[in-house]
Amino acid sequence: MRLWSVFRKSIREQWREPWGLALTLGTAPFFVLLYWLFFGGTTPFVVLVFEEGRPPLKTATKEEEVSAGGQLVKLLASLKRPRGGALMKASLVEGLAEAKQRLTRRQAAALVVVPRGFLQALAGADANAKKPKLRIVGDFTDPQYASVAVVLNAALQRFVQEATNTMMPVEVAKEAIARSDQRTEFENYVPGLLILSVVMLIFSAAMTITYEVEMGTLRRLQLSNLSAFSLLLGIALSQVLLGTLSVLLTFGMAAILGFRSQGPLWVAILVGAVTSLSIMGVAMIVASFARTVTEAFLLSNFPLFLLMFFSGAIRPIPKVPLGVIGGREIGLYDLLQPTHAVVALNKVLTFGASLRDVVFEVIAVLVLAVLYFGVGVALFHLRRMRIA
Amino acid sequence: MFDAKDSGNQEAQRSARYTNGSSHRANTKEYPPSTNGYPPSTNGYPPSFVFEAENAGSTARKKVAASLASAIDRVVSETWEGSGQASMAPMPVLAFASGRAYTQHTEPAVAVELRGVTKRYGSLVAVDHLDMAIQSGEIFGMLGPNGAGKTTTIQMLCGLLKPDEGEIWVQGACLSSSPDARRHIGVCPQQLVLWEKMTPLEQLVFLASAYDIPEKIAHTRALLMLKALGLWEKRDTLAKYLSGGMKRRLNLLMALIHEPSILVLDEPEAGLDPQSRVLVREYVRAWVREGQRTVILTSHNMDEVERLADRVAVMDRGQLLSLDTPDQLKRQHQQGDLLEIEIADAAQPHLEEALFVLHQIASEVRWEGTIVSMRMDSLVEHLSLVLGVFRRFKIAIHAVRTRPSTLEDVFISLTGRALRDE
Repeated sequence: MRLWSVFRKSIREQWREPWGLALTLGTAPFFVLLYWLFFGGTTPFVVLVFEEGRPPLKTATKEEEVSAGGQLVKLLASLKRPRGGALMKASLVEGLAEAKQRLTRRQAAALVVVPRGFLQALAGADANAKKPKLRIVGDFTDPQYASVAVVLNAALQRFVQEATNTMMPVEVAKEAIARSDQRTEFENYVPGLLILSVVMLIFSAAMTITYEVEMGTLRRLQLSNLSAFSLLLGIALSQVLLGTLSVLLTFGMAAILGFRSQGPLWVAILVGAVTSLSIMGVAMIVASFARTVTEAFLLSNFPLFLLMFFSGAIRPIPKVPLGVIGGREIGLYDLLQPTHAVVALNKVLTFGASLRDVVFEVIAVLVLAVLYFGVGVALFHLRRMRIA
Repeated sequence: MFDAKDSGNQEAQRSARYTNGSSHRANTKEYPPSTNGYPPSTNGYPPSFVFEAENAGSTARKKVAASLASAIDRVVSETWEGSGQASMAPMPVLAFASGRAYTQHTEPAVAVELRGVTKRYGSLVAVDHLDMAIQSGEIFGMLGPNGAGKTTTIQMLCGLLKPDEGEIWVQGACLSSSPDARRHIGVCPQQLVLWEKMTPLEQLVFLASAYDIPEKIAHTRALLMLKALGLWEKRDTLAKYLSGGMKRRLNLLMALIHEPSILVLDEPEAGLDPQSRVLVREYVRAWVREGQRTVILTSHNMDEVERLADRVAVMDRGQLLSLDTPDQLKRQHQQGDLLEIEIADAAQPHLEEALFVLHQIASEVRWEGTIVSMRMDSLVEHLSLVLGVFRRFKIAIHAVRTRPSTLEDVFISLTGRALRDE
C-alpha cells in the first residue's frame, strides 16, 4: 500500500513538472525525427575523384570528358543502396589541394586519385610492366572513411573490369591525409571529448544565471541598475575561465594517457576558450526560460544534444547546404558553434594545422558567439529584467 | 526637485490627500486642511454610552436604553458614591498610553509620492488610482490583507514594476523618466535574498560595487555595518552557515550598503528572536534619525507596525482605505478598548440581565463560559459603571483584564474578517 502511494505521488509530481516530462519523453524521439528529416536514412557518402593530368573541366573536350575520372564518377553515382537511394555522391575535382582541404574539413569522406592515362596504361600494359594504381585518400580518423573505403575498393575493381573488359585486378592503395593514419583510436576521441567538456558549460552557466533568479538576488541587482549585459557578461567570463581550465585539464589528462597533438597545443586551447565563450549565449537563452536551477538543468539537456549530435563532435554528419557566403558553402549545422570548433580541433590536433589554418573557424565561432550572446542578453532582459 | 508649477501642484495634492483620507476613492472621514501638512487631531473620545444607546437601532431599544440609563445612573450613584471611591485615582492597569506623539511641526520633504498610480493584471486591478506621499524622516507603515496591493505598490515604487497609470516620484525624480532614482531605495524583502556561498563581508562589498561604490569605501562601510548589527564575528563565514537571525540581519544590511535615503522593509522582524528584534528595531530607528531618512514598512504584524511606524496606510483591494498616525487611526476607527471580566461562576441567575444592561454600555459584549468580554470607548470612564452593573446583579467577579484598542482592531474594522486569497 505504501509502495503504491509513493508510486502514485511520484507519478503525480512528474506529471506536474511539464518541462522535465517533455524532455524525458520527447528528446530522443525528437532527435530521431530530426535525423530522419536531415538524412532520411539514405545519406550518400561524399566521394571526390581527381584525375591527374586532366584539363580543367571548362576547357575539356568531349573526348576528354569521358576520361577515366569522368567514367568513374558516373559509375560511383550509379551505385545504389539495397533499399534504394544513392550510395555515393561523387564529383570530379580540379585540384588535389582543394580536395584534401575538403577532406580535412570532413566535407567529403574519401578522395579517389586516378593517375594520368590510367585506362590506356591498363589496356596497353604487358604482363611484366608496372601497373598503374589507384589511391583512396582520406582522413583515417574519420569514421566515414573506413566504411566508404571498403565500398570504394569493390567499386574500383568493377570499374576497371568494365573499362578494360578483363578480370584483371587493380592495385588500390589507401593513403592518409596528413598523419591521420598514425592516430590511435583513443586519440581520435579526444577532440570530441574536448568539445563535450566545453558544451557541458551550458549546464553550469545556465544554472548559475538561474540561481540569481531563483534566489531573488537578481532583484537586488536590478535595483542597483545593473544591466543584463553586465550581469551576463560577468558570469560568462567566469564560465569561460572555467571552460578553459576544463580544456587544459582534459588535455593534461589525455597527454598523461598518451595523447599527442600534431599541431600547437595553444591553438587548440584557444579554440576551446573561444568555443566556451560562444556557448555562453546558448546558456543565457536557456536561463531566459528557466525559473529554477532544476529547470535550467533539465532545459540544458536539449542544446547539449543538439550541439553534440549535429555539430559532428560525435560523428561526422553530411552538410545540409543553406547557401554560399564569400565563396564558402554554408550549411545548416554551421549555425552551431561546435561545428567549427570540431573542424578546427581536428585540423590542429590531427593534421598539425597552425593558427593561420584555423582562422576561418575561429572567426566563425566568434561571430556565432556574438550572435548567440546578443540573443541571450536580449531574451534574458526581456523575460527576467524588463520593468513591465 | 520640482519646478514652481509642480511644487504648487504637489502642495495642492498633499492638501487634498490629507483632507480626503489620502485616496479620492476612499470613503473615509474628512478633516479640514492643517497647516503643517498633517491631519489635525480629533482630540477626545465620542460620548460612548448615550451615543451608543441612541444609535442602538430600534425604537424599543431606545426606550429600554433610556430607562436603563436612569437605572444605571442609580447604579453608578450607588456604586460610585456608596463605595466611597470617588476620590480614587484610576486603576493603574487602565493607565495605558501608547506614548506616541507625532511631533513633526515643520514642513517635511516628500521622499516618495504616488500620484494616481494604477496597476492592472488583466482584469484584476491590483492598485487602483493610489495617491500617497511619504515624508522624509518618517517610518511609514503599509498594512493590508493578502491581495491588498501592498507588494505591487512597493514593487512599483522600487522601480521593479511600471504603473499602467500615474506617476511615482522618488526624492523629487519621476521614476519613469529617471530610473536611476531607484538608487535612493534599499529593499529588505521578507524572504532571505543572499548569496549563500559568499561571506557577509564579500556580499556587502559585491553589492556595493553594483552601485559603483569604490571597494575601499564599501569595505569600511560593510565592516561598520556588520559591527553595528552584531555580525562582526561572522564577517568571514559563508552565509549558508549563519543562523536564521543572522541571515535576517544581513538581509537588512544588504538593503543599506549603498546608503539609500529610503528603506523598504518587508516583515523585518519575522524570524528574529526577541533580542535580535530589539536590535533591529533600534538600528532602524537610529538609521532614520541619523539622516532624516525614510522607512516604508510592510507587515502583517500589527504590533510591529504600531511600535515602529509614525504613520500607517491601510490598503485593501488596491485602494487606500485610511492613512494616519497609529493613534489617530485607532481614534478614527476605534471600536473601543477591550475589557474582560472573569466571573466566579457561569451559572449566575442574573447574568443574562446583566449582559443586557452591559450591552447598552459597550459596543460589543461576548460571553463565553466564565468570561464576559466587552468593547467600549473610554474604558477608564466606564469601568466603574460596568463593575457597578455586576455588583447590582450580585455577580461575583473573579478577575478583571483590560486591553486597549490596537491597530489590529482598526485593521479588521477597515478590511473585515473574511479570509483573503494570496
